[in-house]
Amino acid sequence: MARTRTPLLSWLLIAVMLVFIYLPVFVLVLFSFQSGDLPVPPLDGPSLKWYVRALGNDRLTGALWNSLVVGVLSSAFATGLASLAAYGLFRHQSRAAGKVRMLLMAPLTVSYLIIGLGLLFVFNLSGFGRSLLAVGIGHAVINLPLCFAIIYSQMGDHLRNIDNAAHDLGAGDFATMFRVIMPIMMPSILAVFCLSFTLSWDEFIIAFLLSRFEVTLPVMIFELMRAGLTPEVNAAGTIVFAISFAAAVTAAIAVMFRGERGR
Amino acid sequence: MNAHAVEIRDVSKSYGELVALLRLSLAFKPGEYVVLLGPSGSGKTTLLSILGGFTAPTTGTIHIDGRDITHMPPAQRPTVTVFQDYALFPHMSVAENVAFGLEMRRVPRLERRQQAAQALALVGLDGFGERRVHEVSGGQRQRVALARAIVIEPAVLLLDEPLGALDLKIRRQMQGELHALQRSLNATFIHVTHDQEEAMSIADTIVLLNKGRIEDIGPPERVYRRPASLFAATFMGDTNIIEGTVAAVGDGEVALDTPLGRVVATSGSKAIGAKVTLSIRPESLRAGKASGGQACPLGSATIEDVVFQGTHRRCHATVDGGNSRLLLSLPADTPVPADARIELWVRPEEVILIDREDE
Repeated sequence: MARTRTPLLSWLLIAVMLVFIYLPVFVLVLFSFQSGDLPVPPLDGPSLKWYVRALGNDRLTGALWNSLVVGVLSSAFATGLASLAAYGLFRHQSRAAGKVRMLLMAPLTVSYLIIGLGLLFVFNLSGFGRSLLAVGIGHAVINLPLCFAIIYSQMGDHLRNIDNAAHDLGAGDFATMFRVIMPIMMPSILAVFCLSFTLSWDEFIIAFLLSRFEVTLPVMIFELMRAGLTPEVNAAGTIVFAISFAAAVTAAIAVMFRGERGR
Repeated sequence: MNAHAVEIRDVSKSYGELVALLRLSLAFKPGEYVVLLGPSGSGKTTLLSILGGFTAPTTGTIHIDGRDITHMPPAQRPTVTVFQDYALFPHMSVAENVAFGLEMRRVPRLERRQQAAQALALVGLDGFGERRVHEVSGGQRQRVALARAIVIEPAVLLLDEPLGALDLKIRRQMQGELHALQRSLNATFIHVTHDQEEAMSIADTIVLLNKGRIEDIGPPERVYRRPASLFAATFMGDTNIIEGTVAAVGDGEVALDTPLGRVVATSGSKAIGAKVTLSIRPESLRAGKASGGQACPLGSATIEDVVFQGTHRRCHATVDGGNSRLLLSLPADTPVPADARIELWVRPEEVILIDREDE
C-alpha cells in the first residue's frame, strides 16, 4: 500500500502560516516576562515584575474592570435581544419577517468606524454624551447582528415541531420560549454570549470614540503605549489575551456540549 | 346538538397555484378511529395540520363538538397532535414531557405527577418517568409522545404517520395498541398514513385521498371490496384492471364483454353499450374447474412465474388467445409449476365495476 506523502512544500506552507499567526502573540507574551525596561531582545528574566506593576496600576485595573462590566452587560443585552428576535422570526415566518431578518443582519457589513462615528454623532446631538454606558450601547449595537445571525441559524427544522407541540399542549409564546426553546438552545446562546464578550473585550475604535474619562482596557493600553513602550503593555496585553482565550474556550465547550447532547 | 365529533365543511387549501385540498367535506362520529390514507402529495398531512390548527384553510370551516374552531389557536382546541418526529422536549425527563400539558393547565404538582404516571402506565412505560428522552428507544419515544398527548384528555387525537419510523414488528404491535388505546379512551383518533395495510388493520373508517380530493370513504372492508374509484381499487392493494363494455343487463347482474371473454358482475346497473372498468383482486381469480352455479369461467391460462410468499403464491399468468397478463394469488398449499396450464374462474360478486373516469 502506497502511503501518500505530504510534499515538503505543504508542510513548509503550514509552518509559515502558523508562525505568521502566532509569532506576534508569542513575542508579546514572551516579553511580558522581561525583567529589563524595554520589551526588546535580549530577554533577561523571566520576571513577573511587569505584571506586578500592571496590576498595581489603578488606571489599568480600573480599565480592566470597566472592560469586564461593559463586555458582560453589553453581551448579555445583545444575546438576550438576539434570542428574542431569533425566536420571534423563527415562529412567524412571512415575507415581511424575511425582510426584518435581513435588516437585523445588514449592519454586519458596516465597519466599526462608521458605526462608532454614527453613534458619537447621535449621542452628542441628543445630549447623551460619551460615557462607559455609551461604549456598552455601541458594543451591543455591533454584536447584536452577529448574535442574531448565529442563534437564528441554529434554530433548525427539528425545533419546528417541538415549538408546535409546546403550543399544542397549551403553552403560550412566553412559556414555550422560556420552558422549551431557550433551554434547548442554551448551549448555542452561551457560545454566542462568549463570542460577543470576546469581541467587546478586544474592541478599540468604538470604545475609543465613545468613552470619556472612564475607558476600557484596549483604550487604556493605547494610552500607555503613547507614554512609551514598556513590558507593562505586554503584561496588560497578555492578560487581555488570556481572558479572550478563556471566553473562546468556553464557547467551544458550549458548542461541543450541544453536539453531544444530540437531538 | 351536533352528533359529529369532527365536521369538516368545504375545506380548501392552496399554496399559490398549488392546490393541496379541494373543497373537502367530512364528518366523523365521536369515538371513531379514522385513517386518512393517501400517497404523498394527497393532502392528508395538510388536512391533519388544519385540524390541529397549525395551518389555516383557504376556505371552509372546522367544527368540533358543534363548535367552530377554524380560527382557534392549537392550544385552545380540543385536539392534540402526535407529531411524526414525536417532537419530545430533549431537555426534560420522560415524566416532565408527559406532565408538560398539565403544567400549562396549572394542574397542581402532585396531581400532575400522578396523572403523568397513569398515562405512562397506559402506554406501557411504567417506571420510565425518570429517564431522559435520549435514553429510550424509538418505539418508546413514540409511546412517550402518545402519553404526553392523551394525558390532557383531548376529544380528538391527531396522529401524523405515528408508526412511520418504527420497524415492522413494533409497528404491528403498536397498531394493535393504538386501536386498544382508542377504545379505552373513547376519543376520536385521526391517523395519517400512506400504508394501506396499516389503514386496513386499524381504521373504523378509511378516508382515501388523492390530489386533494376524496377518492373513497368507508369501512376498510368496503373500501377494499367495493372501491369507489379506479384509484381506490389500485391503491388498496394489488388488483387486475380490465376494460369492458356492458353487453347485457339482467336480474341483479351485468354481463360484460372483455378481452377475457364474457364476464358477469353483480354490482352496478349500467346501460347496454356503456364502457366500464373492471377490477378483479388477485385472490378472487381462482384456478381449477369452476365450482358452483354462480362461477364465471375466464378460460384457460399459462402460468409464467411463481413467487412463494408464505401465505400464498403470487403468480403471473397469460390468458389463452389474448395478451392479458393477470396477477393471481393462489393458495400456498398446492404447488404450481411455471408453465402450468390452469383454468381460471371468478365469482361474479367479486368482480368490481368502476365507472370509467371521463377525461
